[in-house]
Amino acid sequence: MEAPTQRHTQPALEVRGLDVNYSGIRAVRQLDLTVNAGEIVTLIGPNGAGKSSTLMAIVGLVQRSGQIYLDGQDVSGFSTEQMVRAGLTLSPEGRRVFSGLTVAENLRLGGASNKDRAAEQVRLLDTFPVLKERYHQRAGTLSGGEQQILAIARALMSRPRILLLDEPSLGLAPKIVDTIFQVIAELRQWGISVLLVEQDIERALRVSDRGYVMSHGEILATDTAANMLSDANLKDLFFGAHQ
Amino acid sequence: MEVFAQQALNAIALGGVYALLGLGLAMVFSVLGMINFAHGEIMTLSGYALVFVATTLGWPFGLAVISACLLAGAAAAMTERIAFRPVRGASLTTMLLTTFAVSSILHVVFQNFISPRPIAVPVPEWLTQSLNVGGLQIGTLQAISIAVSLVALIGLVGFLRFSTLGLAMRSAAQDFSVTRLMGISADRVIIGAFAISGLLAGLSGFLWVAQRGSVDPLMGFVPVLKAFTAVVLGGLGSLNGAVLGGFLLGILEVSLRASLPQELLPFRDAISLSIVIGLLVMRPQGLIGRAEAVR
Repeated sequence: MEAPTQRHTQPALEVRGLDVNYSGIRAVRQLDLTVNAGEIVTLIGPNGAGKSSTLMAIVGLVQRSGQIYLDGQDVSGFSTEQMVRAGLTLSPEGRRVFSGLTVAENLRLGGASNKDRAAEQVRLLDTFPVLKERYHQRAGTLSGGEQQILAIARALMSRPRILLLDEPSLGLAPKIVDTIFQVIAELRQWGISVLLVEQDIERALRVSDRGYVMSHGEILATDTAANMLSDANLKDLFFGAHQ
Repeated sequence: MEVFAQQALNAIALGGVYALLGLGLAMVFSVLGMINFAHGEIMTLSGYALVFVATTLGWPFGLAVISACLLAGAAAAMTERIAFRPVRGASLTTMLLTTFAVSSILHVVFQNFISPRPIAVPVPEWLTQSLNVGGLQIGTLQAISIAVSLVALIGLVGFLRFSTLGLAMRSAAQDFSVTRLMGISADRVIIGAFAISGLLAGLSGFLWVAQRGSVDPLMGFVPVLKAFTAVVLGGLGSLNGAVLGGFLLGILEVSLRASLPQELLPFRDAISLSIVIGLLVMRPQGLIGRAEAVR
């Protein structure tokens, strides 16, 4: 697994003053975060902190207010489909592959906004040979790990510059989790910036450059992943339950 | 044996019309989670268009049928743009009320601007004749019903399997939010579903009015009820279920018509609905529906 060593300074994704309300309840409050080009950034926090809401709001799946910039361009008013076409996509929590569709159909839909989807598919099938083996199988018949790989590959079919990953290792066997994190680390080499929400915080930070700590819809702290990993307070707060 | 074959043909012909009707409702339900009760009025509109194009414009009947179907598709897409898009995301009750409002407005338009009375459809003579195939009496209209239903269903399967928009409609039936994450416009998927639903209403409208020989403002009520029954029987949210439900309903009605004693025939619809309810008690999600329909 590649260790994060490069320094990244060019913001690929900037979020300023993001608010999300669900029927009057503020799930996310005045959230600011930045993901630089080629960076992997982890958003950590307890359940109900607003991490998934943040990802869904950035991609436009829930009502939001605030500013979002992609490579400096203001995309705050973009719909979900416009966001995807602009180069940002989300692999949602719980995999959510189209179980009634085949692997091939899932990938085809993933590349619906990519004119060069045939070449992208060849690259992804080489990277994830299991999808080649299961190509004509219905996604619903795949194992949990295979479905997660399909969900990530489907998101990559649009050739995003920024990938939001929500709980990619949730409910998977340890061996599969290794593969998933290997894939996430490789995304850096593909030039894809990643904003990751993950329950296995220690593991997530090991592949990340930086991290944000979130609670009650707000960012409490931010630091490099290395510093966060060695922070005794954070260890007590978050890592204990996962070791 | 001959009687059985004859009844089987009748069941396929009727089931095909119900399948087209059910599929029209299911297309919209699969993307919006809403039963469009104005579907019957779109069907009625296609009937009026058929009469207008064939009688007033004097176009050949085949061309009139195609025009009526296209108009129904366009009209359904227009109802989405004008009536349903503004309430998209509202509660299910609001959306259902909107479908009733569209249905009522179209009724009033038909009654006041066309005629409150039935208008005869100029069905060509060849359509009312029958063919004798190996001792079986097959009505031309019945043969056309079977052929049109099969061609439409095969065409639709091809569209849903091989086109990106069709795939998006299938995926939207499963998970609409994630379909949007594929970079596919929600508006395009929804308006596409309405347009196809309208085309199917036009096709089934042609088969329906050709059979009864007239069109009137309230004509759409019974077909939309049959379509709704077919969709619920097959499983809400399942396109395959709508087709299966349509054919099963057709088979059920034809079987009851053939087997019930004369004095029970007026209760045929009540009996067939009771059987459907019985099936739903055993399988509330429908025959091949998901336990929980997803928008």
